[in-house]
Amino acid sequence: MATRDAQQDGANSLGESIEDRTFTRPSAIIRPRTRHVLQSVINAPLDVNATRLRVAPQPNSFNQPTKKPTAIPVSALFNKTWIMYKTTPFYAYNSSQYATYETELLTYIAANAKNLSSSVLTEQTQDGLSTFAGENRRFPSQIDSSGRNVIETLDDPGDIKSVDFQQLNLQDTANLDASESELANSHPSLVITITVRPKGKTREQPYYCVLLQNQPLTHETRPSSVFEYFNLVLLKAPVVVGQLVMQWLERKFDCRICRLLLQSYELRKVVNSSLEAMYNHPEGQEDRKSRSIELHYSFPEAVGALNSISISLPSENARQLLVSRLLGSEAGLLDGVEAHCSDSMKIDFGRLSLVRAGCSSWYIASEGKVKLFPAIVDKQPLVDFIRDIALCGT
Amino acid sequence: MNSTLLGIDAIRYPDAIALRRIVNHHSKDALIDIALRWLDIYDITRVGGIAADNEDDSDDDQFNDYMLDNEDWQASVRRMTPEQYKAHVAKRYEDMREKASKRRVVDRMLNVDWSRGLNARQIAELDLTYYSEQPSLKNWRAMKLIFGEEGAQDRTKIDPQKIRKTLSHFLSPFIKHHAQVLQKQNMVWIRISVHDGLAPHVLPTSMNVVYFIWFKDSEYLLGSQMKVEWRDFILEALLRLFKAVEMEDWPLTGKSPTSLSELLLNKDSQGSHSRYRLHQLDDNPLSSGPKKRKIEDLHQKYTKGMRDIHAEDLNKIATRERFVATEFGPNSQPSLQKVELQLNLPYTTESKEFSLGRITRQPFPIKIVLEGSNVIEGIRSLIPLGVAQNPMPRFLTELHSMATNSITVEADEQESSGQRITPTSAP
Repeated sequence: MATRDAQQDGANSLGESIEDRTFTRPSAIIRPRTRHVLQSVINAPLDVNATRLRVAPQPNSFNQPTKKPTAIPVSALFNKTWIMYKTTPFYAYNSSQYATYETELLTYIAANAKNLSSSVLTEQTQDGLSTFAGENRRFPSQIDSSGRNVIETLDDPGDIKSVDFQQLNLQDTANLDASESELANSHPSLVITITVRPKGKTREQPYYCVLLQNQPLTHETRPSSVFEYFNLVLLKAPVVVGQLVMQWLERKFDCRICRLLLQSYELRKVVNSSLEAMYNHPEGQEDRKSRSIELHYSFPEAVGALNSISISLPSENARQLLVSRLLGSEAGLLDGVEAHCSDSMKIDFGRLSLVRAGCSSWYIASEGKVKLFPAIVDKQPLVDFIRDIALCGT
Repeated sequence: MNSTLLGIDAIRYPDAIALRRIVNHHSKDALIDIALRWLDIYDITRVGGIAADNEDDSDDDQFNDYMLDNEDWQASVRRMTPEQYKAHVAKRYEDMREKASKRRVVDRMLNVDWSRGLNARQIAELDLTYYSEQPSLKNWRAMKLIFGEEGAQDRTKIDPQKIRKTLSHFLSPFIKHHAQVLQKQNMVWIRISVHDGLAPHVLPTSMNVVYFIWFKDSEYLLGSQMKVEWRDFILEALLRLFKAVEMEDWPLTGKSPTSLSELLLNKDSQGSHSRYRLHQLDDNPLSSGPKKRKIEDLHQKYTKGMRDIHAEDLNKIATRERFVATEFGPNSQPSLQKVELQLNLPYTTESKEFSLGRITRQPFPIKIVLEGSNVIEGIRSLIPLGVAQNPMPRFLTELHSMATNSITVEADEQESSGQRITPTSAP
């Protein structure tokens, strides 16, 4: 340090080179030393607000009015095939910051969807192709018939036009009393719509990600106000867009989202309880016309030549069967149908596993896909159905 | 012998993607065989010396008998008479069998020897050879010809050679088409490619080509998918061809024509009776001595050699095996891909939880659909695997004799088994 001082003085003594600076350089300026800087940082009082959220502050975030997002009806969920995911609670999810979230998500997707070679989703292969790094990066996504690893190559999804966050109410609040409806409204579900114009097409295509809120059964207070609990995440989007949305959610809210795969017994439970709610009532007119109940079973692997067996039952007969159940019996509709088939065909349905089931209100598959039909509104509270599904999965 | 081709047969289809697709799905050996056959039937284009052997440049030394240099070699080729040239080309193809890739064979065929394009007969031949080797690529539906009283005597006298001309004759007033016939043992393949509405040198897409298989001297036909607009015309022409009065759809579909033919033609000798049909018993009363029958070790068969499996009750296993053998027979079952059963039986009385069966004997209608690569074989394998129990109901074990994909089962007091089984009529 002494030598540096000497150099400085030396420079000063030269005179000409720093003459421009002489009048701006008061003699009192001391070049800050590292130890002084560190000292000041250590001793400074902690500012809690500045370090809590590691989010780059938006330039206008304080000036933007927190507007309420638009509401969309439950019918937006119908007639679409959804892939189901489960999620851990979201941290620091602020339901009034919709506008901020929209812009962030839009820039995130737009940046990573287009420039695939430097996108967060991709890994470079040896050929230089951009390929998809699956959810679990340690293992490849697929293996083809010759046993080699097949890595999905990414397609450019097209131009991302807009991202909208909208609010969804699962329950019909008109029928609820004041306290329940207030509860339902305070934690609404969220629908993220990503509008994309695919390459080569003129029409825009919407993709959806739905975050379904966990509706509590009773009016309990939540254990923690910092966390937001979501039951299920439903996704209807191509691979690139869908994975980007989920990555953004995971990184923004410090959660983990993964596929919901239904085990055979879980699927049976869901199907049983739903069919119970739908059909266990005395004779009504509408049952005669509604769609029949379909159940698909798969054979154990040792039976090579047969792939699947499916049973189709008219809803009126299902109702009769349920009504005829003996008091005190715990058996569900599935058990009744299987008992009849086992007896008539002498094939033991206990050895077969249920893979898909469908009725007039919904269609659900054990690989984690679900499709809802408009008829569910009359038959069964949608909230109960979602809650049953959300209890499944590991 | 170069046949002169008339009319639609003579139109040539130049080398294009659609044509390449038809040619490329054959194997190299098949293509070379076809090319050698065509050398005698269809004119080959004989391009001037240089172009003809251009692609053999690099391998000249191997093919060249005389060790002449290129110029003289070209000249000698040009001087060959047609027969000599044909022999030369045939030799080229034989050499290419081992040494050249498929692409070179195809290029040679399309660009050199038949450079003006393949005519319709050649294309039809290519298609027919391919599909007759691999019939499982198509979905076949069965149709039954109904002969009136006058036609009954004539029906077995249809000569497969004459089918092509007669069919074209009956179909040409309605549709512009090309017909071709191939006979393979007892199956007569008929290919009709519809050229309606197409430009002259454009090949129809595979949707516009219809295949039929007629089992020789029988009354059953198999047809592939065809467009609704031509269906009536084609069926009408077939009716006239076979001198039948009516054709009805038979409710049997599947992918394998051999299985379908077995189900249709040998309805009465399936299952355990197939042993008689296939001469597996009693072939000759004078044959030497009773053959010593090898007694199969049942335990060995059950455990498949794994020593830590112990069967509890060998009698039970033996009864199972006997049941399967009596119901299904020892031979392999014909394959069906999809079977639909409409069970209209009353609800079971065995259930402890549901009393529906005891309240009413009304039918409890359920529809069951079984799908797989070979449904009947699968059902047969269910019993040894323990998924099903014997005795299995008749509608499952007698599936092979029904000759149909969809069955209705109803409760019937008069039948001995209490069930009446009928093929489901089409809605």
